[in-house]
Amino acid sequence: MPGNSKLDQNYQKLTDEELIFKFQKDDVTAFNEIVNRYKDRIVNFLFRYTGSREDSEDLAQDAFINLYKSKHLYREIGKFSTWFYTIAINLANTYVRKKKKLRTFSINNVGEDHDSDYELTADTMAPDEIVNASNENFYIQKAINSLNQKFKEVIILRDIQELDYEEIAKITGLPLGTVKSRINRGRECLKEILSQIYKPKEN
Amino acid sequence: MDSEEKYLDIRNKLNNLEEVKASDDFVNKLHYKIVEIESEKRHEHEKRFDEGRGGFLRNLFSNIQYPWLIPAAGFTILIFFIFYITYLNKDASEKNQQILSTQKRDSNEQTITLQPPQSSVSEKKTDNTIEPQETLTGKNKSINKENKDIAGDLKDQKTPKPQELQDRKSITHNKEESKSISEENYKTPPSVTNETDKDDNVKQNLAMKKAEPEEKNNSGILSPRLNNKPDTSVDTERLMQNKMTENNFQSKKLLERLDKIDDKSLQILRDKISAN
Repeated sequence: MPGNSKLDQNYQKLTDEELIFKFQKDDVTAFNEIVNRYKDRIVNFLFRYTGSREDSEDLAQDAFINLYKSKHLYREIGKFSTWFYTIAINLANTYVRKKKKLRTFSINNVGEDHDSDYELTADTMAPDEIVNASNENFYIQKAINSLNQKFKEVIILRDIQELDYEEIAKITGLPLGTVKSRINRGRECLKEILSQIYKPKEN
Repeated sequence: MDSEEKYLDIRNKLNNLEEVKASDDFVNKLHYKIVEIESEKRHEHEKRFDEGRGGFLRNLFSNIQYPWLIPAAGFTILIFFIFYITYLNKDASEKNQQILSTQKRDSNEQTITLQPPQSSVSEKKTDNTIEPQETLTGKNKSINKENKDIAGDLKDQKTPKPQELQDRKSITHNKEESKSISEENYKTPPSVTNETDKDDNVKQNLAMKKAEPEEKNNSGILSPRLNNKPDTSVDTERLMQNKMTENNFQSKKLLERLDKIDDKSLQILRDKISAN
Protein backbone atom coordinates (compact mmCIF):
# COMPACT_ATOMS: atom_id res chain seq x y z
CA MET A 1 0.00 0.00 0.00
CA PRO A 2 2.43 2.65 -1.14
CA GLY A 3 1.16 6.13 -0.46
CA ASN A 4 2.32 9.68 -0.60
CA SER A 5 4.35 10.38 2.53
CA LYS A 6 3.15 14.00 2.86
CA LEU A 7 -0.43 12.87 2.49
CA ASP A 8 0.12 10.15 5.08
CA GLN A 9 1.53 12.73 7.48
CA ASN A 10 -1.58 14.85 7.08
CA TYR A 11 -3.74 11.83 7.85
CA GLN A 12 -1.64 10.94 10.90
CA LYS A 13 -2.67 14.26 12.47
CA LEU A 14 -6.37 13.44 12.14
CA THR A 15 -8.37 11.81 14.92
CA ASP A 16 -9.93 8.36 14.55
CA GLU A 17 -13.37 9.88 14.08
CA GLU A 18 -12.16 12.27 11.37
CA LEU A 19 -10.54 9.36 9.58
CA ILE A 20 -13.67 7.21 9.63
CA PHE A 21 -15.74 10.14 8.32
CA LYS A 22 -13.26 10.56 5.50
CA PHE A 23 -13.46 6.83 4.82
CA GLN A 24 -17.25 7.06 4.76
CA LYS A 25 -16.74 9.41 1.83
CA ASP A 26 -14.75 6.64 0.08
CA ASP A 27 -11.34 7.98 1.07
CA VAL A 28 -9.24 4.80 1.04
CA THR A 29 -6.19 6.59 2.47
CA ALA A 30 -8.16 7.20 5.67
CA PHE A 31 -8.90 3.49 5.87
CA ASN A 32 -5.20 2.70 5.45
CA GLU A 33 -4.39 5.08 8.28
CA ILE A 34 -6.95 3.37 10.53
CA VAL A 35 -5.42 -0.01 9.69
CA ASN A 36 -1.96 1.29 10.57
CA ARG A 37 -3.18 2.67 13.87
CA TYR A 38 -5.20 -0.30 15.04
CA LYS A 39 -3.66 -3.39 13.50
CA ASP A 40 -1.19 -4.07 16.37
CA ARG A 41 -3.68 -3.19 19.11
CA ILE A 42 -6.37 -5.42 17.69
CA VAL A 43 -4.02 -8.31 16.97
CA ASN A 44 -2.65 -8.09 20.53
CA PHE A 45 -6.15 -7.97 22.02
CA LEU A 46 -7.33 -10.91 19.92
CA PHE A 47 -4.18 -12.91 20.67
CA ARG A 48 -4.75 -12.49 24.39
CA TYR A 49 -8.39 -13.38 23.92
CA THR A 50 -7.94 -16.45 21.71
CA GLY A 51 -4.41 -17.52 22.68
CA SER A 52 -3.59 -18.26 19.06
CA ARG A 53 -1.37 -16.11 16.91
CA GLU A 54 -2.75 -17.24 13.55
CA ASP A 55 -6.34 -17.01 14.61
CA SER A 56 -5.80 -13.57 16.12
CA GLU A 57 -4.42 -12.26 12.80
CA ASP A 58 -7.28 -13.80 10.85
CA LEU A 59 -9.81 -12.36 13.25
CA ALA A 60 -8.11 -8.94 13.11
CA GLN A 61 -8.34 -9.00 9.32
CA ASP A 62 -11.99 -9.99 9.55
CA ALA A 63 -12.54 -7.06 11.91
CA PHE A 64 -10.99 -4.66 9.40
CA ILE A 65 -13.04 -6.16 6.59
CA ASN A 66 -16.19 -5.69 8.66
CA LEU A 67 -15.14 -2.11 9.20
CA TYR A 68 -14.64 -1.73 5.43
CA LYS A 69 -18.03 -3.21 4.64
CA SER A 70 -20.05 -1.45 7.34
CA LYS A 71 -18.30 1.91 7.49
CA HIS A 72 -21.62 3.70 6.97
CA LEU A 73 -22.96 2.22 10.23
CA TYR A 74 -20.66 4.30 12.40
CA ARG A 75 -22.33 7.33 13.94
CA GLU A 76 -20.69 10.07 15.96
CA ILE A 77 -22.31 8.87 19.18
CA GLY A 78 -19.29 7.21 20.72
CA LYS A 79 -15.59 6.88 20.14
CA PHE A 80 -14.39 5.07 17.07
CA SER A 81 -12.16 2.79 19.20
CA THR A 82 -15.19 1.64 21.20
CA TRP A 83 -17.11 0.81 18.04
CA PHE A 84 -14.17 -1.00 16.50
CA TYR A 85 -13.40 -3.00 19.67
CA THR A 86 -17.05 -4.06 19.74
CA ILE A 87 -16.67 -5.47 16.23
CA ALA A 88 -13.49 -7.28 17.26
CA ILE A 89 -14.91 -8.69 20.49
CA ASN A 90 -18.04 -9.97 18.73
CA LEU A 91 -15.87 -11.77 16.19
CA ALA A 92 -13.73 -13.21 18.99
CA ASN A 93 -16.77 -14.46 20.91
CA THR A 94 -18.13 -16.13 17.77
CA TYR A 95 -14.75 -17.74 17.20
CA VAL A 96 -14.54 -19.05 20.76
CA ARG A 97 -18.07 -20.46 20.60
CA LYS A 98 -17.28 -22.30 17.38
CA LYS A 99 -14.09 -23.67 18.87
CA LYS A 100 -15.95 -24.89 21.95
CA LYS A 101 -18.41 -26.80 19.78
CA LEU A 102 -15.58 -28.47 17.91
CA ARG A 103 -13.75 -29.40 21.09
CA THR A 104 -14.14 -33.01 22.06
CA PHE A 105 -15.13 -33.60 25.65
CA SER A 106 -13.36 -36.14 27.84
CA ILE A 107 -15.36 -38.58 29.91
CA ASN A 108 -14.30 -36.65 33.02
CA ASN A 109 -15.87 -33.46 31.72
CA VAL A 110 -19.29 -35.03 31.23
CA GLY A 111 -21.72 -33.84 33.87
CA GLU A 112 -19.38 -31.12 35.15
CA ASP A 113 -20.53 -27.56 35.56
CA HIS A 114 -19.10 -25.58 32.62
CA ASP A 115 -20.07 -22.24 34.12
CA SER A 116 -17.09 -22.21 36.48
CA ASP A 117 -14.89 -19.10 36.78
CA TYR A 118 -11.92 -20.81 35.16
CA GLU A 119 -11.00 -24.11 33.54
CA LEU A 120 -7.48 -25.45 33.73
CA THR A 121 -6.06 -27.17 30.69
CA ALA A 122 -4.51 -30.64 30.71
CA ASP A 123 -1.09 -31.19 32.20
CA THR A 124 0.38 -32.35 28.90
CA MET A 125 2.17 -29.54 27.05
CA ALA A 126 2.63 -28.84 23.38
CA PRO A 127 6.26 -28.70 22.10
CA ASP A 128 6.27 -24.90 21.83
CA GLU A 129 4.84 -24.67 25.30
CA ILE A 130 7.75 -26.73 26.66
CA VAL A 131 10.19 -24.23 25.11
CA ASN A 132 8.39 -21.28 26.66
CA ALA A 133 7.67 -23.04 29.90
CA SER A 134 10.36 -21.13 31.77
CA ASN A 135 8.82 -17.79 30.68
CA GLU A 136 6.32 -16.26 33.13
CA ASN A 137 4.38 -14.63 30.31
CA PHE A 138 3.58 -18.03 28.94
CA TYR A 139 1.89 -18.99 32.19
CA ILE A 140 0.10 -15.70 32.45
CA GLN A 141 -1.32 -16.26 28.96
CA LYS A 142 -2.24 -19.78 29.96
CA ALA A 143 -4.02 -18.40 33.01
CA ILE A 144 -5.91 -15.90 30.84
CA ASN A 145 -6.95 -18.68 28.47
CA SER A 146 -8.23 -20.64 31.44
CA LEU A 147 -10.43 -17.79 32.55
CA ASN A 148 -14.15 -17.76 31.90
CA GLN A 149 -15.05 -15.68 28.83
CA LYS A 150 -17.03 -13.09 30.76
CA PHE A 151 -13.97 -12.30 32.98
CA LYS A 152 -11.43 -12.66 30.21
CA GLU A 153 -12.81 -9.93 27.95
CA VAL A 154 -13.04 -7.31 30.70
CA ILE A 155 -9.58 -8.18 32.16
CA ILE A 156 -7.93 -7.90 28.72
CA LEU A 157 -9.69 -4.64 27.89
CA ARG A 158 -8.83 -3.11 31.24
CA ASP A 159 -5.37 -4.44 32.18
CA ILE A 160 -3.83 -5.13 28.76
CA GLN A 161 -5.56 -2.63 26.44
CA GLU A 162 -5.83 -0.10 29.26
CA LEU A 163 -9.31 1.12 28.41
CA ASP A 164 -11.37 2.95 31.04
CA TYR A 165 -14.39 1.42 32.74
CA GLU A 166 -16.93 3.47 30.82
CA GLU A 167 -15.51 2.41 27.50
CA ILE A 168 -15.43 -1.24 28.57
CA ALA A 169 -19.03 -0.92 29.67
CA LYS A 170 -19.95 0.42 26.23
CA ILE A 171 -18.01 -2.27 24.38
CA THR A 172 -19.44 -5.14 26.35
CA GLY A 173 -22.85 -3.57 26.77
CA LEU A 174 -22.77 -4.17 30.50
CA PRO A 175 -23.53 -1.78 33.34
CA LEU A 176 -20.53 -0.03 34.84
CA GLY A 177 -20.91 -1.78 38.20
CA THR A 178 -21.03 -5.18 36.52
CA VAL A 179 -17.87 -4.35 34.62
CA LYS A 180 -16.05 -3.32 37.77
CA SER A 181 -17.10 -6.39 39.72
CA ARG A 182 -16.22 -8.68 36.84
CA ILE A 183 -12.79 -7.13 36.57
CA ASN A 184 -12.12 -7.65 40.28
CA ARG A 185 -13.42 -11.15 40.20
CA GLY A 186 -11.40 -11.95 37.08
CA ARG A 187 -8.22 -10.64 38.69
CA GLU A 188 -8.91 -12.79 41.70
CA CYS A 189 -9.37 -15.87 39.54
CA LEU A 190 -6.25 -15.08 37.51
CA LYS A 191 -4.19 -14.75 40.67
CA GLU A 192 -5.47 -18.06 41.86
CA ILE A 193 -4.74 -19.81 38.56
CA LEU A 194 -1.28 -18.36 38.37
CA SER A 195 -0.50 -19.52 41.88
CA GLN A 196 -1.52 -23.01 40.81
CA ILE A 197 0.36 -23.26 37.49
CA TYR A 198 3.39 -21.05 38.01
CA LYS A 199 5.79 -20.97 40.84
CA PRO A 200 8.72 -18.67 40.25
CA LYS A 201 12.16 -20.17 40.84
CA GLU A 202 13.90 -18.91 43.91
CA ASN A 203 17.36 -17.55 43.36
CA MET B 1 -8.50 -0.76 50.22
CA ASP B 2 -9.01 0.12 46.55
CA SER B 3 -9.38 -2.82 44.15
CA GLU B 4 -6.77 -1.33 41.81
CA GLU B 5 -4.21 -1.36 44.61
CA LYS B 6 -5.30 -4.74 45.86
CA TYR B 7 -4.54 -6.43 42.52
CA LEU B 8 -1.55 -4.26 41.68
CA ASP B 9 0.71 -7.26 41.34
CA ILE B 10 -1.42 -9.06 38.78
CA ARG B 11 -2.13 -5.79 37.01
CA ASN B 12 1.58 -5.16 36.58
CA LYS B 13 2.13 -8.65 35.33
CA LEU B 14 -0.62 -8.28 32.72
CA ASN B 15 0.55 -4.82 31.76
CA ASN B 16 4.12 -6.01 31.26
CA LEU B 17 3.10 -8.81 28.95
CA GLU B 18 4.91 -8.71 25.69
CA GLU B 19 2.86 -6.88 23.07
CA VAL B 20 2.01 -9.03 20.09
CA LYS B 21 2.31 -7.13 16.83
CA ALA B 22 0.69 -7.81 13.48
CA SER B 23 2.82 -9.65 10.97
CA ASP B 24 4.55 -7.79 8.14
CA ASP B 25 2.24 -9.14 5.48
CA PHE B 26 -0.85 -8.36 7.56
CA VAL B 27 -1.78 -5.31 5.45
CA ASN B 28 -1.10 -7.11 2.16
CA LYS B 29 -3.26 -10.03 3.22
CA LEU B 30 -5.98 -7.59 4.28
CA HIS B 31 -5.88 -5.79 0.94
CA TYR B 32 -5.96 -9.06 -0.93
CA LYS B 33 -9.10 -10.04 0.98
CA ILE B 34 -10.70 -6.65 0.33
CA VAL B 35 -9.98 -6.92 -3.41
CA GLU B 36 -11.57 -10.38 -3.41
CA ILE B 37 -14.66 -9.03 -1.68
CA GLU B 38 -14.88 -6.14 -4.13
CA SER B 39 -14.59 -8.47 -7.12
CA GLU B 40 -17.29 -10.70 -5.67
CA LYS B 41 -19.49 -7.68 -5.17
CA ARG B 42 -18.90 -6.57 -8.76
CA HIS B 43 -19.59 -10.07 -10.02
CA GLU B 44 -22.86 -10.23 -8.09
CA HIS B 45 -23.85 -6.81 -9.40
CA GLU B 46 -23.13 -7.86 -12.98
CA LYS B 47 -25.06 -11.06 -12.43
CA ARG B 48 -28.05 -9.11 -11.15
CA PHE B 49 -27.76 -6.74 -14.09
CA ASP B 50 -27.70 -9.68 -16.51
CA GLU B 51 -30.70 -11.24 -14.80
CA GLY B 52 -32.43 -7.90 -15.01
CA ARG B 53 -32.03 -7.92 -18.76
CA GLY B 54 -35.37 -9.24 -19.85
CA GLY B 55 -37.45 -8.52 -22.87
CA PHE B 56 -38.26 -5.11 -24.20
CA LEU B 57 -41.43 -4.81 -22.14
CA ARG B 58 -39.70 -6.07 -18.99
CA ASN B 59 -36.98 -3.46 -19.33
CA LEU B 60 -39.55 -0.82 -20.08
CA PHE B 61 -41.82 -1.53 -17.15
CA SER B 62 -39.48 -3.09 -14.59
CA ASN B 63 -38.59 0.22 -12.93
CA ILE B 64 -42.15 1.43 -12.62
CA GLN B 65 -43.30 1.83 -9.05
CA TYR B 66 -46.92 0.90 -9.68
CA PRO B 67 -47.08 -1.80 -12.36
CA TRP B 68 -50.89 -1.97 -12.18
CA LEU B 69 -50.96 1.43 -13.86
CA ILE B 70 -49.77 -0.08 -17.16
CA PRO B 71 -53.05 -1.74 -18.23
CA ALA B 72 -55.05 1.24 -16.94
CA ALA B 73 -52.93 3.66 -18.95
CA GLY B 74 -53.16 1.44 -22.01
CA PHE B 75 -56.93 1.29 -21.73
CA THR B 76 -57.28 5.07 -21.43
CA ILE B 77 -54.99 5.59 -24.41
CA LEU B 78 -57.12 3.15 -26.41
CA ILE B 79 -60.31 5.01 -25.46
CA PHE B 80 -58.79 8.33 -26.46
CA PHE B 81 -57.62 6.81 -29.74
CA ILE B 82 -61.08 5.46 -30.55
CA PHE B 83 -62.71 8.76 -29.59
CA TYR B 84 -60.23 10.66 -31.75
CA ILE B 85 -60.87 8.45 -34.77
CA THR B 86 -64.65 8.66 -34.41
CA TYR B 87 -64.49 12.43 -33.97
CA LEU B 88 -62.39 12.77 -37.12
CA ASN B 89 -64.75 10.52 -39.03
CA LYS B 90 -67.69 12.57 -37.82
CA ASP B 91 -66.10 15.72 -39.21
CA ALA B 92 -65.25 13.98 -42.45
CA SER B 93 -68.75 12.53 -42.82
CA GLU B 94 -70.28 15.94 -42.11
CA LYS B 95 -68.07 17.46 -44.78
CA ASN B 96 -68.99 14.71 -47.20
CA GLN B 97 -72.66 15.22 -46.44
CA GLN B 98 -72.30 18.91 -47.02
CA ILE B 99 -70.56 18.29 -50.33
CA LEU B 100 -73.18 15.76 -51.31
CA SER B 101 -75.99 18.08 -50.33
CA THR B 102 -74.47 20.92 -52.37
CA GLN B 103 -74.03 18.58 -55.31
CA LYS B 104 -77.60 17.36 -54.93
CA ARG B 105 -78.80 20.91 -54.68
CA ASP B 106 -77.00 21.78 -57.92
CA SER B 107 -78.34 18.69 -59.67
CA ASN B 108 -81.84 19.38 -58.37
CA GLU B 109 -81.65 22.89 -59.71
CA GLN B 110 -80.66 21.48 -63.07
CA THR B 111 -83.40 18.81 -63.07
CA ILE B 112 -86.04 21.23 -61.87
CA THR B 113 -85.32 23.56 -64.72
CA LEU B 114 -85.06 20.74 -67.24
CA GLN B 115 -88.15 18.73 -66.19
CA PRO B 116 -91.60 20.07 -66.97
CA PRO B 117 -93.49 20.54 -63.72
CA GLN B 118 -95.85 17.71 -62.78
CA SER B 119 -99.32 19.05 -62.95
CA SER B 120 -101.94 16.82 -61.38
CA VAL B 121 -103.16 13.27 -60.93
CA SER B 122 -105.07 13.38 -64.16
CA GLU B 123 -101.87 13.83 -66.16
CA LYS B 124 -100.22 10.94 -64.37
CA LYS B 125 -103.20 8.83 -65.22
CA THR B 126 -102.93 9.68 -68.87
CA ASP B 127 -99.23 8.81 -68.91
CA ASN B 128 -99.97 5.41 -67.43
CA THR B 129 -102.59 4.64 -70.01
CA ILE B 130 -100.24 5.51 -72.87
CA GLU B 131 -97.43 3.17 -71.86
CA PRO B 132 -98.65 -0.27 -73.09
CA GLN B 133 -98.42 0.90 -76.69
CA GLU B 134 -95.05 2.60 -76.33
CA THR B 135 -91.77 0.94 -77.10
CA LEU B 136 -89.86 0.54 -73.86
CA THR B 137 -86.21 -0.09 -73.17
CA GLY B 138 -84.05 -1.25 -70.20
CA LYS B 139 -85.18 -0.36 -66.72
CA ASN B 140 -88.30 1.39 -67.86
CA LYS B 141 -89.80 -1.98 -68.76
CA SER B 142 -90.06 -3.08 -65.14
CA ILE B 143 -91.45 0.23 -64.06
CA ASN B 144 -93.95 0.15 -66.89
CA LYS B 145 -95.06 -3.34 -65.86
CA GLU B 146 -96.02 -1.95 -62.48
CA ASN B 147 -97.66 0.97 -64.18
CA LYS B 148 -99.65 -1.41 -66.34
CA ASP B 149 -101.45 -2.67 -63.29
CA ILE B 150 -102.10 0.81 -62.08
CA ALA B 151 -103.26 1.76 -65.56
CA GLY B 152 -105.60 -1.21 -65.59
CA ASP B 153 -107.10 -0.06 -62.36
CA LEU B 154 -107.37 3.41 -63.68
CA LYS B 155 -109.04 2.14 -66.86
CA ASP B 156 -111.57 0.39 -64.70
CA GLN B 157 -112.13 3.62 -62.89
CA LYS B 158 -112.17 5.72 -66.08
CA THR B 159 -114.30 3.51 -68.29
CA PRO B 160 -117.72 4.67 -67.31
CA LYS B 161 -120.46 2.29 -66.53
CA PRO B 162 -124.02 3.22 -67.69
CA GLN B 163 -125.02 4.27 -64.23
CA GLU B 164 -121.96 6.35 -63.69
CA LEU B 165 -122.28 8.25 -66.99
CA GLN B 166 -125.19 10.25 -65.78
CA ASP B 167 -123.40 11.19 -62.62
CA ARG B 168 -120.34 12.30 -64.51
CA LYS B 169 -122.28 14.66 -66.72
CA SER B 170 -123.22 16.53 -63.64
CA ILE B 171 -119.65 16.57 -62.50
CA THR B 172 -118.37 18.10 -65.78
CA HIS B 173 -119.83 21.46 -64.83
CA ASN B 174 -117.84 21.45 -61.68
CA LYS B 175 -114.67 20.50 -63.54
CA GLU B 176 -114.90 23.60 -65.71
CA GLU B 177 -114.91 25.62 -62.54
CA SER B 178 -111.96 23.75 -61.14
CA LYS B 179 -109.97 24.39 -64.34
CA SER B 180 -109.08 27.86 -63.22
CA ILE B 181 -107.89 26.50 -59.85
CA SER B 182 -105.76 23.79 -61.45
CA GLU B 183 -104.09 26.42 -63.65
CA GLU B 184 -102.95 28.19 -60.52
CA ASN B 185 -101.67 24.95 -59.08
CA TYR B 186 -99.52 24.27 -62.14
CA LYS B 187 -97.34 27.23 -61.32
CA THR B 188 -94.00 26.12 -59.86
CA PRO B 189 -92.68 27.85 -56.75
CA PRO B 190 -90.52 30.88 -57.54
CA SER B 191 -87.65 29.69 -55.39
CA VAL B 192 -87.12 26.50 -57.37
CA THR B 193 -87.14 27.75 -60.97
CA ASN B 194 -85.25 30.57 -62.57
CA GLU B 195 -87.07 33.68 -63.54
CA THR B 196 -86.46 33.20 -67.23
CA ASP B 197 -87.47 29.57 -67.21
CA LYS B 198 -90.51 30.17 -65.07
CA ASP B 199 -92.54 31.92 -67.75
CA ASP B 200 -91.70 29.36 -70.38
CA ASN B 201 -92.58 26.45 -68.14
CA VAL B 202 -95.81 27.98 -66.98
CA LYS B 203 -96.86 28.73 -70.53
CA GLN B 204 -95.96 25.21 -71.57
CA ASN B 205 -97.86 23.63 -68.71
CA LEU B 206 -100.88 25.77 -69.25
CA ALA B 207 -100.97 24.84 -72.90
CA MET B 208 -100.79 21.16 -72.02
CA LYS B 209 -103.35 21.32 -69.26
CA LYS B 210 -105.80 23.33 -71.28
CA ALA B 211 -105.84 20.61 -73.87
CA GLU B 212 -106.38 17.78 -71.37
CA PRO B 213 -109.59 18.92 -69.65
CA GLU B 214 -111.11 19.61 -73.06
CA GLU B 215 -110.41 16.06 -74.08
CA LYS B 216 -111.86 14.72 -70.84
CA ASN B 217 -114.85 16.96 -70.71
CA ASN B 218 -116.16 16.20 -74.20
CA SER B 219 -117.57 12.83 -73.38
CA GLY B 220 -116.46 12.07 -69.86
CA ILE B 221 -114.33 9.29 -71.34
CA LEU B 222 -110.59 9.49 -71.79
CA SER B 223 -109.60 11.05 -75.10
CA PRO B 224 -108.19 8.93 -77.96
CA ARG B 225 -104.93 10.84 -77.51
CA LEU B 226 -104.47 9.41 -74.05
CA ASN B 227 -105.14 5.89 -75.16
CA ASN B 228 -102.87 6.09 -78.22
CA LYS B 229 -99.35 7.40 -78.92
CA PRO B 230 -98.77 11.09 -78.20
CA ASP B 231 -98.25 13.46 -81.09
CA THR B 232 -94.61 13.56 -82.14
CA SER B 233 -94.79 17.24 -83.10
CA VAL B 234 -95.73 18.21 -79.55
CA ASP B 235 -92.91 16.10 -78.07
CA THR B 236 -90.29 17.59 -80.37
CA GLU B 237 -91.43 21.06 -79.46
CA ARG B 238 -91.21 20.22 -75.81
CA LEU B 239 -87.70 18.77 -76.23
CA MET B 240 -86.58 21.85 -78.10
CA GLN B 241 -87.90 24.04 -75.35
CA ASN B 242 -86.14 21.94 -72.76
CA LYS B 243 -82.86 22.21 -74.66
CA MET B 244 -83.26 25.93 -74.86
CA THR B 245 -83.88 26.25 -71.17
CA GLU B 246 -80.90 23.98 -70.47
CA ASN B 247 -78.63 26.10 -72.62
CA ASN B 248 -79.85 29.24 -70.93
CA PHE B 249 -79.25 27.72 -67.52
CA GLN B 250 -75.73 26.58 -68.37
CA SER B 251 -74.76 29.94 -69.77
CA LYS B 252 -76.12 31.67 -66.70
CA LYS B 253 -74.22 29.34 -64.46
CA LEU B 254 -71.03 29.97 -66.38
CA LEU B 255 -71.52 33.67 -65.94
CA GLU B 256 -72.01 33.21 -62.21
CA ARG B 257 -68.80 31.23 -61.97
CA LEU B 258 -66.92 33.87 -63.90
CA ASP B 259 -68.23 36.47 -61.45
CA LYS B 260 -66.82 34.48 -58.60
CA ILE B 261 -63.35 34.06 -60.13
CA ASP B 262 -62.46 37.59 -61.22
CA ASP B 263 -64.84 40.35 -62.17
CA LYS B 264 -62.51 42.76 -63.84
CA SER B 265 -60.31 40.44 -65.82
CA LEU B 266 -63.18 38.34 -67.12
CA GLN B 267 -65.37 41.22 -68.10
CA ILE B 268 -64.10 40.94 -71.63
CA LEU B 269 -64.85 37.24 -71.74
CA ARG B 270 -68.32 37.86 -70.36
CA ASP B 271 -68.97 40.38 -73.06
CA LYS B 272 -67.80 37.97 -75.68
CA ILE B 273 -70.04 35.22 -74.30
CA SER B 274 -73.02 37.52 -74.12
CA ALA B 275 -72.30 38.63 -77.65
CA ASN B 276 -72.23 35.03 -78.83
